[in-house]
Amino acid sequence: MSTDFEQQLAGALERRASTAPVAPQSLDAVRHRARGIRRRRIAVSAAGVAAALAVIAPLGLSATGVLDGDPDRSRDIAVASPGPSPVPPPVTEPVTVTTGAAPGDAPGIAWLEADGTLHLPGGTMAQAEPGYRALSVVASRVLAFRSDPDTGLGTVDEIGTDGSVLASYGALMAPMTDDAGTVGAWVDRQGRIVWAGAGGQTTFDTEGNAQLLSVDADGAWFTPEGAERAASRIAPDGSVTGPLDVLGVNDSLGERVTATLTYDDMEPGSCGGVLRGGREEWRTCDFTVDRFSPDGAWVLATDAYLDGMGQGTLAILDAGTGGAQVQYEVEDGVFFDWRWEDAAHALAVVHTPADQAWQVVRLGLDGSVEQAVAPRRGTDLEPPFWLGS
Amino acid sequence: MSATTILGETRPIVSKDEDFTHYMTARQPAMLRLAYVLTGDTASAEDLVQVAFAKLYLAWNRVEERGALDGYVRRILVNEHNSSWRRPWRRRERVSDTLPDSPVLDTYDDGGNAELWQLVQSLPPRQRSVIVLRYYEQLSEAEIADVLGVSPGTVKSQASKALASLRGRTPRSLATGEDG
Repeated sequence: MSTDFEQQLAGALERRASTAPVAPQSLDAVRHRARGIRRRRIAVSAAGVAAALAVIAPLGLSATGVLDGDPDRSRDIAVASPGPSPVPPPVTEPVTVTTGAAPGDAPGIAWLEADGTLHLPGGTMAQAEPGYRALSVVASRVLAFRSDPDTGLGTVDEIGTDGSVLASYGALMAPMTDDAGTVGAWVDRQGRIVWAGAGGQTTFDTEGNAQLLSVDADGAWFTPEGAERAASRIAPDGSVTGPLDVLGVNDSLGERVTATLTYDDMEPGSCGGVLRGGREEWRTCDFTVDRFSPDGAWVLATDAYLDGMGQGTLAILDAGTGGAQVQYEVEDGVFFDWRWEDAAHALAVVHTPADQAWQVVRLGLDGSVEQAVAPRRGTDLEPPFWLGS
Repeated sequence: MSATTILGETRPIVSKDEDFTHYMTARQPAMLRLAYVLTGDTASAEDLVQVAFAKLYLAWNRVEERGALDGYVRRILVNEHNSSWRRPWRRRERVSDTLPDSPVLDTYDDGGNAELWQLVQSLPPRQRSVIVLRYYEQLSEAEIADVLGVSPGTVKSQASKALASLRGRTPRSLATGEDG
């Protein structure tokens, strides 16, 4: 129920807005501004490919570790990235994702459908109630997140093999996990960080509502309420390190983090990169640097600027250099969600407006695209499935 | 007028500019008012709306659900406004050849509205956004969370802090009778 003061506040804003001395924009002015934004976006994209090639070409380190000065072979070899499989050459042209890709295996990670079907690693399924919007497997516990559509209050439910709810925890957000699913964390309704692992659950009190940023086996990165450029890590024993002078930590793997460093709404864009032990290893202003691959050799990256319309680009960058390995695009559509499936493949939930279809695609380091979940019709407002962790 | 059939739905063929202009003309006054309440000054509000509509123009062909347009523009406006404050130079005063806004004459105001307006303008950007979306746009906490890309808990917390701050600095004559 609103109070007199709140009503007075609403009235003051309404009255001031109604007398705002602002002038309407013409279509010409808007189109001119749009052209400027588009020019900058194209310039950024072109610079990204050029920078990637510039990084890769001079290195010329072969898979056997022999220095190779032959420029014609340099693209076959790419940068020295760990991993059991040979690294494919970088893909220099953006790859467009459509609904026409060949069908492949089902996702190798957990995922869920809007009707409550939970797909768990190993191919098992459970039928839960509809309404869950996130799914995590933490130390063999299946955790699903839902939020009340009216109040917005969130709940993490532990789900049994028959789909029944075994336990419920009030939460402000869905759980985050490490890649192996051995540990996870979320923020409860009191703003505290709940850490979950094989040894059970521990709750850490932080000042005000913590904003959880990333989780790995060594701890959880978070930002205290109201803090700017102050990401800290809390370890499973409760010790806190940091803060890092970054706008946000997007993912973490041991001593390395992917971080957003600057944000620029006028260009528009942002810069981010990989930090090791708090020291910047590289940065890019072409992408938002996001998740490390399970082997730490690659990072997923998205558009450098979020404008509320969704992500149109998903790229795989070399985690050691920031060089672009491959860039995926979806024409007029959006990448809604993305995760690493293994060290060489990412999965993404994609919507393509041309055929009003949602699908999950498997994206390779080599530019390959496969359907992991077949296209399903629907508008871009509500995806029919979500990837888990 | 000719027509085209897309997925079984027949729509009249309208050019992108015509379609966009129709929407912009209809909704621009409301978006300008929202931008003005967010920014507190005319020039910033007009600039913010121009950027928001320019981005919408670029993405126009991607928007399938015309009923969601207001939500998209509102999200761009608010996030543009909030992110602009992350640039350190924006926080410093700048030399400008543009005259400041003239005071707005509110003939219905007994002084209280102006006081409250000034207090809202003094809030940090995110808190101000939450207050504007809640009490001007009349959005629910869940809707505000969606616009800002944060959790409903964060919205609740920010709103609570902002209200406490406003109440704490509001003259007693204005703040009486609250807390129902």
